[in-house]
Amino acid sequence: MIEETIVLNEVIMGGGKWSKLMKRGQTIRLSALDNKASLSALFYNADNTAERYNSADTVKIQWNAFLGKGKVLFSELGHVLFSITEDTTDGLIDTLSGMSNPRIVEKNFGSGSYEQIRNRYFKSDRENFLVELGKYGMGKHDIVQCLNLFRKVDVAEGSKLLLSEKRPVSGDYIELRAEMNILLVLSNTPHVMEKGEYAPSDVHVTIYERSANEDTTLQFSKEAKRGFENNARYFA
Amino acid sequence: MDATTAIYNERVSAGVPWYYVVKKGQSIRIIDLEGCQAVDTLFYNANNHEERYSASDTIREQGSIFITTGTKLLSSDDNVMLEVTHDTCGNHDTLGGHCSAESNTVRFGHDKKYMHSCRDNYLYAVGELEMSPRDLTNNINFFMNVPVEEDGHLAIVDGISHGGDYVQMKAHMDTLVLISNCPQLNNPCNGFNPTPIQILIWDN
Repeated sequence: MIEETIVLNEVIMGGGKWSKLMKRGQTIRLSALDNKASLSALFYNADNTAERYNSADTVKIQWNAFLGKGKVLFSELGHVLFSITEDTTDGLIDTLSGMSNPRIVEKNFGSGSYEQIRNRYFKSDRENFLVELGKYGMGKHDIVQCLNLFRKVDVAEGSKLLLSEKRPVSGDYIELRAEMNILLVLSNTPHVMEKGEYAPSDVHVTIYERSANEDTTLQFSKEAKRGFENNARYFA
Repeated sequence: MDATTAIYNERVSAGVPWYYVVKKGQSIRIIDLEGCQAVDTLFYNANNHEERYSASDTIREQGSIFITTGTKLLSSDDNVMLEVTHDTCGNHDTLGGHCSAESNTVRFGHDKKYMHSCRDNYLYAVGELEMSPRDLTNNINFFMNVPVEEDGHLAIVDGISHGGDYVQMKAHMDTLVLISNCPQLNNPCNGFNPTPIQILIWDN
């Protein structure tokens, strides 16, 4: 039995932005508090932010455009940044379709300015990321193809991108274990291909030194194992 | 278009980086001289390198993962950079990214660490151009064939281009084109045999 130690417990408001430095070995649990949860994530090696998540390497190395429990998230330097250690959504993860910007949010949801609705104004991923990255002295050239959690994009007929209608249910969660020291930046805004009402759900965040849920039987691919070997060399 | 009227016409060797500014209104053609060559390509606003090609915006806005005739190549700032006007090959990849020494160790084994890679070409080029390594991002792989199945399975399979196949784009802004003519020897992206390409540019 793993002894669970919670080091952080927070709620990210719908529309909100959030960032945190995580230590190698810590696990973050992201829990949907309703069925309109949708996070976009960028993450970096906190000790060298020139090293960041690489969606292309991640899908290419693991031979699959879709991600889920047991898959890992690679940097562009052959290191594993996060392992996906738990996922009750059964693969509601997307790393193909990118992030929203103000033009897309207005197109998909209409007008929702600060002047009209104050702090409920319609925020986009790009705005959230630029604001949050700015706090670390980072900017536009640090924005790469992101990871989207709680929504999935299907590839139909070999090429067409379609937002899946599947949504998380309240209480669904995804756990990511930091395999390096990580700067994690989150934007809690509707998926870039979502339309209709702008009403992103709140998301609950827990960071554990170790999660009690940790699945010690998780089997990683030989490619992921070589990534872990590269990590071990980095920290040697 | 007639090669004799091109303002630029150069052969680019296998395995090397290449870069050039294509002006607004000009057209650039990339010819796969021998077939099955992967041409890893990035684009930047020549006047502001922080604005760059965005793979995710490009495929999402057109609703398809492949680059071909009619594709508008979108920037990270939501502008059209170039439009594909001719394509004799078909589907070009923009999911698979570029190879690196480090990803080669993960994909193929630690003994591949000292093999040449696109990432090395890109880092060398952005160093010479006094750009930032952070300017490197997900690229297009012209002539590379990466189908995705319903279950998400993705594989870099044998190329479908033949010698002489080409793709041509018209620039909608002054665009820095940065190419790594892929030196990968470990998978079929270039038929295990990296070969030269030809690049032509015309004033329109």
